[in-house]
Amino acid sequence: MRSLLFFITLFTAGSAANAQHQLPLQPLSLESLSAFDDPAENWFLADSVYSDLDLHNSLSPTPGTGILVNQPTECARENLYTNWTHGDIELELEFMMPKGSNSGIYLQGRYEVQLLDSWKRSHVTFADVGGIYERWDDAEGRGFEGRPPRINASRAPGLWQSLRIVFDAPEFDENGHKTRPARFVQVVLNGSIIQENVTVSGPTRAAGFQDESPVGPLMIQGDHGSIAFRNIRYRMSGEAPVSVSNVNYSEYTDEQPLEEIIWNSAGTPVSTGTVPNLQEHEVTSADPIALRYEGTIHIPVSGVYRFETTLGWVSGDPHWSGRPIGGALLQIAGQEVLRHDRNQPSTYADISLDAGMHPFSFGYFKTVGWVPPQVTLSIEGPSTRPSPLLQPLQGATPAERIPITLGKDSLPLRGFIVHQETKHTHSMAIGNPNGVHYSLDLSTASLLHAWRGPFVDAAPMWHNRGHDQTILPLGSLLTFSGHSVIEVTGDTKLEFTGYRLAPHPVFTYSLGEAVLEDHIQPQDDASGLSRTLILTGDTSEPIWMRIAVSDQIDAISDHRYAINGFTWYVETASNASIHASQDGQALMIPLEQGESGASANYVIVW
Amino acid sequence: MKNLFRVVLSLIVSLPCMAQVPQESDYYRMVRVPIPQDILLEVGGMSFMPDGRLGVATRRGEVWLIDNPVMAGTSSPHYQRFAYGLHEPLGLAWHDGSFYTSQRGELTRLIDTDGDAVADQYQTVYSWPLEGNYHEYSYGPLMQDDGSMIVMLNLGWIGYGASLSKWRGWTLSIAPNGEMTPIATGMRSPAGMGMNVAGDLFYAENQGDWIGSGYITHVETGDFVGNPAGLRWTGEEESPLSLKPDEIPNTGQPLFEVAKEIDAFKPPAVWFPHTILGISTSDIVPDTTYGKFGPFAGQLFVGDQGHSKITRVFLEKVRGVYQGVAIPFREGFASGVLRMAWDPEGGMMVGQTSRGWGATGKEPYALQRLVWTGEIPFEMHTVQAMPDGFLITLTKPVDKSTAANANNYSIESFTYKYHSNYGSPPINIATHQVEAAVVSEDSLEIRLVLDGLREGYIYSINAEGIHSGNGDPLLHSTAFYTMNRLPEGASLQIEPDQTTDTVQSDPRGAQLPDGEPNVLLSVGTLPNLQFSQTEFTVPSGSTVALTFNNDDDMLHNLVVVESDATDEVAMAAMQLGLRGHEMQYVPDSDAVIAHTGLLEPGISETIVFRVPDEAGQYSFVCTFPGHATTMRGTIQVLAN
Repeated sequence: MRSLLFFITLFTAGSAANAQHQLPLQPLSLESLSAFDDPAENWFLADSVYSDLDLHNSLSPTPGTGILVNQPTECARENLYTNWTHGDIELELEFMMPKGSNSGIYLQGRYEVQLLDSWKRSHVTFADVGGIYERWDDAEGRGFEGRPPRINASRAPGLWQSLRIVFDAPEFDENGHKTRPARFVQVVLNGSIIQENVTVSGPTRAAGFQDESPVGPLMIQGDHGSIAFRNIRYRMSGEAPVSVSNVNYSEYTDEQPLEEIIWNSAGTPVSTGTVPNLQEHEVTSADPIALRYEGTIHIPVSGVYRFETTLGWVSGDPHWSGRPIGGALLQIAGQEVLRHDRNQPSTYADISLDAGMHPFSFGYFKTVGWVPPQVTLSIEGPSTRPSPLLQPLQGATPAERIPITLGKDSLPLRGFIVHQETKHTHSMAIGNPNGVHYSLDLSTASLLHAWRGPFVDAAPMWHNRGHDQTILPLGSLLTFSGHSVIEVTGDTKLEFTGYRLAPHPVFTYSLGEAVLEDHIQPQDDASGLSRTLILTGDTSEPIWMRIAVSDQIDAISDHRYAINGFTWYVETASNASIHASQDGQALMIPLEQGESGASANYVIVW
Repeated sequence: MKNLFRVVLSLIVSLPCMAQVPQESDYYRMVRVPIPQDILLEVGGMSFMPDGRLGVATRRGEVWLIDNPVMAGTSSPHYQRFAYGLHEPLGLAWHDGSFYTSQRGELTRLIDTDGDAVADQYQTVYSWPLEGNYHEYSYGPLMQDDGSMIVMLNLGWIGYGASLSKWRGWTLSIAPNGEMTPIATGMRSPAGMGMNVAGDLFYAENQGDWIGSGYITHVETGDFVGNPAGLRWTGEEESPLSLKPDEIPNTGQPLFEVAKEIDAFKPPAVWFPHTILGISTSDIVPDTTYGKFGPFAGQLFVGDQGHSKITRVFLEKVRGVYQGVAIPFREGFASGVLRMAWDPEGGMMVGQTSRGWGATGKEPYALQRLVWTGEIPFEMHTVQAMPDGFLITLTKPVDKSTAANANNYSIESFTYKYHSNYGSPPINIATHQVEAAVVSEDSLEIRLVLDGLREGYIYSINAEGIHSGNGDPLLHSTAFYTMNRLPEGASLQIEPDQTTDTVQSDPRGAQLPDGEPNVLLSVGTLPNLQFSQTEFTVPSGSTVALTFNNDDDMLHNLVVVESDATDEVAMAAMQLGLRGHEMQYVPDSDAVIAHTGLLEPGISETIVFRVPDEAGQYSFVCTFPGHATTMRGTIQVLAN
C-alpha cells in the first residue's frame, strides 16, 4: 500500500470498439547474444542490414548490435535457442525476409509459425509465411495438421515485417498426462490477424524436441536461409492471474441522477448483493442504470497495470453534446484510477501496483434505455495478458460483416475512411480483381492506404443506419502519410472534378486553369501500384509530384527508394530528389513535358 | 359475459353499411415489381428516363436501370446496373442525357459516354464539406426548368440536430456549371422535396428537435423554416438571410406565433400530425397524370417512410400564403416509402427502404407500383378554407340528409409547441361546433360553418357520419387542414332551418339493451386523475345507463372492461399512439364491454349497456394514456 500509486496515466482510446491497447512487452536485448544458448556462427548481431529486392537470399549486414542476423553457410546452419524457457507467452518481433528465403519461429522449440518469402502469392498454404507448419506422420509418410494463414499478409523481400504470436503451452497433470493441448491463440502478421485459436496436437515436423512439455526454449530456424530480426519483445504469463473477491454490488435506477451516483458516490441503491466476482452480476436489463461494485483485487506481482473500460452503447461521436449517455469510474484504495467520462467507447489508464490485495470500487452509469449495459473492464500487467474482469457475455453479438467481393472490374467505392485516426469524408476505396487495393482522399489527391488480399468490410456503412459510414479495409494495411500528390503553391486551388472508368478509375482535378489526371492502377503481377500524373493546360510554375513524406527515405539506387525505414519501396524512372519539408523528408519528381502534357510516374512496391 | 359479446358482434355485422366497407385496394392496387435476389434495391432515389426506363439509386451506392418496370404484357422487368460505388445517394434526377445524384459529399453527374448503359464518367458538379456524422444525409437533386438543381442537406445528430459543417440544414441551388447559391435554411431532416403544379418548391420535414410534428413547407429564397441550427451560417457572404440563432426564442409557444415576430420565418404549408398522418414524411410528387391516376390531378402525394403509406395534399393560396389539407390516401406498402415517381402509363412507382429506420412495412426494401383501378372512391376531394369554416368538395355526390346533419361532423383544432425539445404533443386543443352544414345542389360540396375559428391552427375535420348517394362511407373520413390565414370575405348567411342543435351524447352501447334502463349511475372526476366514484353495485342482467360527466380540465373517457383485463386494455390504448385520439383511446379488444367517447372538459355522455348475467367484478377505467393507473373503479355485479 505504501507505494500503491507511483503514477497514473489516462488515455482515451480511439473510436474503434475493439482497439488493442497493450503495455510494452519486455524487450529481448540484442546488444549481445547473451539471451541465446551457445549460438552457432551463422547467428550474429548487426547494426543494419540490407536485402536486395531482386537478389536471391541476399542479406548485407553492417557491423554493430541491435539486429539479429542469420546467414547459414556450408559449415554453420544451426537453429537458435533462447537460454530461457517459456510456457504461455506473447511474442512480438520484426523480421526482414530476403528473396526466396525461409525460416520459422518455434514456440517451446516445438510448434512452428512459418516464415517464408511468400510475396505476391495469391494462394497460400501452411508452408507460407504465417502458416502453422504441418506435423509429420512417419508411418504413413505424410504431413498433417498444417494450417494456412487466413490471408497472405506478407511484404516484399527486404522490407521490415511485424509478427505477433500469442501462445498457450500444453498443460499436464501430476502423472504427466496432457490435460490441455498447445494452442496458438493468435498470430498477427503486419497488423492482420492470420491465425486464431489454432490447437496443435504435437510438435511440428522439424521441431527441436519431439516430446511435449509445460516449458521449452524459443527456437528460431537457422538452416534454411538468411533472415534478420529486431525489436523482439515478450511477456510470459504468471502462474497467478489477477482476481477479485468479496464483491458487493449496489444498483441504482434513474429515479436519481445516474451520473451523480457514480461521480459523487451519491444516491440510495434499489438493490444490493454479494457475488464472488464482477461477471456474476452482469446486468442484462436495458433500463437506465448506475451500478457500483466494491471488493478486493488480488495483484500477483508488483508492476505497471493497465485498466481499460469499454462502454458498448457509447457512440464515440466527438461532437456529442447531449446528456452523457454513459460513464465509468475505477478507484483502487480510494484513489481514482480511471475516469471514463468522454463520449468514447473505450478509455484506459496505467497504474503502478504492489503485489497483494487492494480494495477497489468500479461503477458505471447508463442514462439511455434501449440497450443493455455492455460493459467491459479489463486488466493487463507484467505477467497478465489483457483479461476481462467484466465483459458482456449474455446477449453480446459480434459485429456484423458485409465483405465486398470483387467481380472482373475494379470497384471504386466511396465512403468515409479512417486514416491515422482521422475520418476522411471525401474518400474512396478502390478494389481490384488481382487483389491489390488502395484508398484515396479525393479532395486532396492523397493516397491513404494500400493493401493486398480481401477488399473491404462495408458493415460500418451499410449495417443498420451505418453509424460510422466508414469502409474497413480488410487486408494488411500499408499506411501512407496522407499528403497531396502535388505540391500546390500560391493561390492555385486543387479541386476534385470526378473520375472516369477506363476501366481503372482515372481521377481528374482542376488546378487553376490546368487539368490534372491521376492514373492509379495495380501492377499486373500484384507487386504494387503504379501512379501516373498527367497535367494539361497552363500552370504558372513547374509542378512537382510528391511521392512520399517520411522521417526516413533511403536511396537504394537512382531509381529505387525505401520509405519509412524499409516499410515500402518507390521505383521511378524520373530523377527524384529528396526535399526537406515540415513533416519530414519529401521524395519529389518533376512533371516532364511530353506530347500529351506534362507527366510523371512512380510505382509503389511493398 | 360471452353471451353478451355474441350479441354485440351480431349487431355489428348486421348493420347495413358495415357489411361491404370500401377498401383502399378497391381503388388503388399495389403491384409488386419483382427484384432479382442478388440486388439489394434499398431505394434512395428514383427517376424515369424519357424512354420509359426507371433509374433507381440505392442506399448501397448503385444505380439500376429497370427496363419495362410497368411489366407490359407478361414480361418481367429487366435490371441493368448503371453505376456503383456511390456514397448513399438519396436522390436521382434525369436531365439532358445524364443522371444526377446527391451523394453524402457532393452532387454528381453520371454519364454514359459509349452508349452501353453503364456510366463511365462520374463528374463532381459541386462538393460540400462534411463533418463525418452519420446523420448528414444529402438529398436531391430536384431539377429546375433552367437546369439548376435543388439539394437539401440534413443536420448532423449529436444529441440534437447540429450543423457541423457549412450548409448543413440548408437548401442549395446548384447551376450545371457548379455555381452554388444557398436558398434557405431551417431544414432539419428534409427527406423529400417536390414542386407543385404551379412550379413552387416544397420540402417535407420530419418530427424532431424544434419540429413538433412532420410538415411540408413552401420554400423560397431567404426563408427560415424551423430548425435554427443552420442559422449558424447566415453570416456567410452568400447567405440570403441574416437571421441569427440567438434570435430564435425557445419558449414552447406555437410555431405560428413565433413566426409572426420573425420576418424570415415561414411556417409549414401543411402539418402532418405525428403518428396520425405518419411519422416521417418523405417524397413529394404532384399528380401530373391528367387523370390517369384518378380524380386527384394537380394535388400532391407525400410519402411516409415509417408508416409505409402515402398522404394526399390539396394546397390553396389564401392571402398570398400556401396552406391546405392533408388526407390519408393509401397505406400498407411493403417497406418504408421513400420515393415516388410517375411511370409513363400514369401509375405511381413507390420506392421503399427500411434499413436502420424501421417501418410498418417489414420488408427491408421494395418497389411497388400503385395503379388506379378506374373506380372513383368516395373521398373529400378538396377542403378549402372559408371565412367562417370550410368548403368540402367531394369526389362523388353525397347523401344530402347525412351531409346536412351537423352531428355527422366533429371538428377540433390544435397546434404544436415550437421548442428545442424533440417533437411536441398537440396543444391548445379546442372543439368547434358545426353551426351549419349546407349541401350544394349537385351534392358535391358541403359548406361547414363553425364557431370560433383560429388562425394558425390545424383542424381535424371528421365527417365519419356522411355517406355517398349509394351508401358508401368516406374512404377516409378525417382531413387535417392547416389554417395559416383565414380567408377574407363574407360569412355564409344561415337560414334558421339550416342550423342544427348539436347533441353531445353518442351513447355507445345503446344498441344493446333490450329494455329501458333500470339502473341509473353517474360518475364525475376528482383532481389528480380520479373518478369521483370508484365502486358501483348492480344486479346481474340489469340494463344500466351510466353517465360520465367529465368535469375535469383534461380529456377523459370511461371504458367498462372485464376486471382482469384492465391493465391489458389500458396498455393497448396507450399503444394506439396519437391514432388513439381518433379511436377515443378505446382499443379493439374483446374485453371491452362498453365505453364513452373521448370527452372534452365539461362534456358528459350517457352510455346504456346490459350488465352480464354472471355475478362478479368488472372494472371501469379511463384509457387516455397515462390515466389508467389511478383513474379506475369497480362494478360489482350481484346475483339476483
